[in-house]
Amino acid sequence: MILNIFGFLMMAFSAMALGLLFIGIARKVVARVQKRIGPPFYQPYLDVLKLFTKNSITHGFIFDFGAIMAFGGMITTLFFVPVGPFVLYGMNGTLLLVIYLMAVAYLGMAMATVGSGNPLASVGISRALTQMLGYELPFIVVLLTLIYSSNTSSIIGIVQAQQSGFMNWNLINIPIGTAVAFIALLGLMGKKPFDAPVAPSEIASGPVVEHGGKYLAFIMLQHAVSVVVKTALFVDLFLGGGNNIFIFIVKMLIVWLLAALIGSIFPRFKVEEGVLFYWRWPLIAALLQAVIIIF
Amino acid sequence: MNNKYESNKWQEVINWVQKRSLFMLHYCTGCGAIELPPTMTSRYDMSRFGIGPAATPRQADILLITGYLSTKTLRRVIYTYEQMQDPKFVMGFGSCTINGGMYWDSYNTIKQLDKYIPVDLYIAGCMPRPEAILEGFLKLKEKIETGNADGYKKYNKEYETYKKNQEKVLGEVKRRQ
Amino acid sequence: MSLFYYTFIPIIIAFIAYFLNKKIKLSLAILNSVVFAYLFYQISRLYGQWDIPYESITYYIFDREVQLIFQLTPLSWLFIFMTTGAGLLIAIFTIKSQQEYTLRSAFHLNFAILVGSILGVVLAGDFLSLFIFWEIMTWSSFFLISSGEKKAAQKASFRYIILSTVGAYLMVTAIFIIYNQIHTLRYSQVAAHLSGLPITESIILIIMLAIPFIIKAGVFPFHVWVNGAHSNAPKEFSPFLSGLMLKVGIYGVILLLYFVPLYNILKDSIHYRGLPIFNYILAIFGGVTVITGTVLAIRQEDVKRLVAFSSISQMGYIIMALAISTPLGFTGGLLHLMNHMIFKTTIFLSIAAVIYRTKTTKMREMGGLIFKMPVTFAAYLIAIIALAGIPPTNGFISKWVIYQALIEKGYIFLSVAAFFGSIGSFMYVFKPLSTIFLGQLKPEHENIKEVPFLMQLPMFVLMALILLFGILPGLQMNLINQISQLLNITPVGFTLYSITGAFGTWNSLVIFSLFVGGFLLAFIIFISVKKSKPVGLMDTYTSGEYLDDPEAYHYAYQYFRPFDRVFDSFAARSLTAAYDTFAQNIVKLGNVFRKSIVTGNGQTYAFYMILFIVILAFAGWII
Repeated sequence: MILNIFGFLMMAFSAMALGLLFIGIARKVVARVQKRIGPPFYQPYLDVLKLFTKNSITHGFIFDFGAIMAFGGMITTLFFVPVGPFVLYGMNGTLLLVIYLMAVAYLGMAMATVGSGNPLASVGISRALTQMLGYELPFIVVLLTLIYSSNTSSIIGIVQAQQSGFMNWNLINIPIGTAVAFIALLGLMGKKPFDAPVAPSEIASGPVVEHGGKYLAFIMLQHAVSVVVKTALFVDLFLGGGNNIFIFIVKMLIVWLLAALIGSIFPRFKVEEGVLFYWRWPLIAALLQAVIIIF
Repeated sequence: MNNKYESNKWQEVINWVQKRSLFMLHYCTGCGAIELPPTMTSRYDMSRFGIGPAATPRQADILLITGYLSTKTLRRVIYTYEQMQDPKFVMGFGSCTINGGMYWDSYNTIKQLDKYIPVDLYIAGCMPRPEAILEGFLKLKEKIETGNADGYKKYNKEYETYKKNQEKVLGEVKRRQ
Repeated sequence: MSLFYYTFIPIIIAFIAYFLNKKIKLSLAILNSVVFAYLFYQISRLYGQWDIPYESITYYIFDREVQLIFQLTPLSWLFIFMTTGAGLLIAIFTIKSQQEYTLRSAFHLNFAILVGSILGVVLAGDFLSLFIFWEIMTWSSFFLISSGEKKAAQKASFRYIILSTVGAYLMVTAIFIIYNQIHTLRYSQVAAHLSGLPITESIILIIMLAIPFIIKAGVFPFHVWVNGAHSNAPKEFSPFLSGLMLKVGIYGVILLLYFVPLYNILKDSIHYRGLPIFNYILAIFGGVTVITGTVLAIRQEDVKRLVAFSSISQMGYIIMALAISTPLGFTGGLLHLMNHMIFKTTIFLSIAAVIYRTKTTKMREMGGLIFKMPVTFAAYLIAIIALAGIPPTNGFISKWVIYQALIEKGYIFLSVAAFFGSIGSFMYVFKPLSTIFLGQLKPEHENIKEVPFLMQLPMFVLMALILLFGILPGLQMNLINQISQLLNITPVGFTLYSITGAFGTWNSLVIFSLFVGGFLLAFIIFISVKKSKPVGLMDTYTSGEYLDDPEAYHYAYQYFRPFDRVFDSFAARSLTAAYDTFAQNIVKLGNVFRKSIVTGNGQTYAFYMILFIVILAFAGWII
């Protein structure tokens, strides 16, 4: 019991630290792409610390509750995703669960931001939910294909099926699906071509428009954990997972940096353009992959 | 929390963190705003000092007054400043914010910014070039570390004075709180 | 107590109380609650007594023996339990909520008759008594829908009754045909008879029997009555309409799919991935229902319409799951049926509470009610979390089982439809949350209070049920297992808090405890840092402008406009309009007939009479 709680806390805090580190590295890398020096890689830690020391305002209990729900939901999601050898809970049938657990965090964030009474936040949430319907469809089709082909819906099971070498990775087995899932991952993480929900120049950073001080820090931490969850999920599903935590983190970093690099060179889609884009090529490719695997 | 303790060790840590991470509000007035893009982008790159842009006053630490302020804009500046959360810092650009500059005899610009909101640092020039702005940021960081950038404390303490000055030029200023 | 009484007690009491109600205000609502509470108690005691003998009334029409049979099975127990439970909660709700409603005596009369007739429908053991109570149900619900306060209620109820009548005609024709062939209408004998018939004939008979059920369940392409009826019915009846009435249609579908085992009849027909093509088409209709309901729900500006479309979409899930005829599909469908009843009733009740206070159903005319009506908000929030299928609520479990069933067989289109509906449901359930409960408070709603306790009570009960079944799905699975045994379906493995799917096991206890852990951690971090200063909703970032008018600062109208733009052309092709055009064409045809034959001219009629006599003369009947 004590050991479990200790593992629980360790995992939560190391995921926050790792996520912030990833964000810092990505900022540095993007800065180098744009011929800048960029902030030091530990800048996100400083930002979060500073935000926790700043004063803040709240718009009533739903504003607080939403922040807690967003962060708590994301932490809960983390426990179901194996990060290298660290698996806190290896229940079967977790893949669908993880997708829906992420929605808890989104719902919390949406409630908090709309609860602030700012219409810009509502616009951001409206965009985010619309875009979610865009990227989730091809992503889900790929996941179904994956579940069907590996005959398990447990993430650990899918990882174990890829253990015996590079040629067993799902990257090789279902290449089109992997590509589609990566494009969906860009939307899932709100990376550049699909960052209409948080567009700072149009709707003043959308959902987080009223978040300052510790609330913004919570959102940043939630984002950090979500980066870990999503990249770890991608690595588990398509890149063979890993028994060695360092190799696993390197794989995660590669996925994350690839997403960051793509994000650094693209402008932004309009919301419905983003949705239609997802429903055109990625969805067709995903269905094609599903047909190839299932029939 | 013990007040003495807060003012010593803990406050030093907070100041150190605060100095390394500053969010600057995108608030553009006057002609100095055009100097900010080069300051942000690859030529000068202020993000290497930990200074980044923020979209709304709720998130921001620094308010830049980039040039002359008409009385109409002053009202917006006051609303924005009051929505920012402590600790917050104000930087005045160029001579317009000090003494009116070339608008010294204009009927609808204010001449002296710090009568209305406290200013932590002025940057000289008309307008200051990016090098000067960066120099100003570094100075501000020094002031934050030593705890001298305390304009927001002054504003809270002498709120009535500021309010009187503001209402003198603007008439009624509606407050949310 | 005899099974007959369950049906007739509410109906008889309703008539007595109707006259009593003229004297004592509100006596009907209270009497109804008491009767439903008594029935509920009696029915819950019936649990497990599946071996009580069936009861029958025999009588003779034209020397033909006709039996009305009542029997109790686990399946019918589930439905009568749900019906009386929902009836009880709604009757309690109406005690307070209908004080200003003029038609409330009629409402309660019809409501009690409706509950009685639904009990009759599900307890019936033969098609004739099913049909009789089915018609009583249709007519009492017709009166209930048309007693809505809006003018559009009448039009909506006409659409409902016309579709229902079409269904009823088909059903009664099929019943006559079957009776003519075998002289009995008991389910088991009809099932045996249908299995023996040639395949085309039995399929036609089954379709004729199925269409009234599918119409009641609101499945595409017969979903056109659902939105109008739900949105215009009295606010207290909408929960029952969506929570129970649609499910009675599903009961009929279960009856035909499993009790009259359609699967066996179609064993030798064309198959798609191990499923008879007829079942697959029904599942496809379910999938189309999910997509249509979702897309249209996202567009709505009227909150009751929005939830009505969401009901359509959720019905699609149930039909889809039942149609694929696997143990998992059957389990998922029944689980979702129960859960949908619980959370949709909650949603409609919370919305009824909002309407009770604000007197409007337009979402853009409300806003910021969270601080005024926190209990209603909590009920709505928990219910939508369940509806969107987010753990740890009951809605996720049933959706999880349905997904397992779909993926197990590899139905790509159905899975895509299911996920589309699920993610789309985030969008449409968030719209009322954001526009009614969150955002800026309207100045005219400044003095609104929370609804009275008697209206909160049903919401509390339902909220508790959502969480209870979210943690302990075994309670529901126990009953579903008995139904599966009755219908010869392999039971799905389960314990009190876990369900075994095709690709893994669901364990809600672990998930719940991890949720508690995650939230606790977030909460501890939250309270251990600096306290924040509370400010009003009007103190928001406005690009440096002072805000006077909260109404202008509430984002509520056309919430998902970018998304709606994608589907504008789709939504413009309304099926309702197509039906209307069809109806108008029939009217035109009738007009042509009327103008050419029924001219209104005396000479024409005289000519007809002479013609008639001449024809008779030729036939040799006169002379």
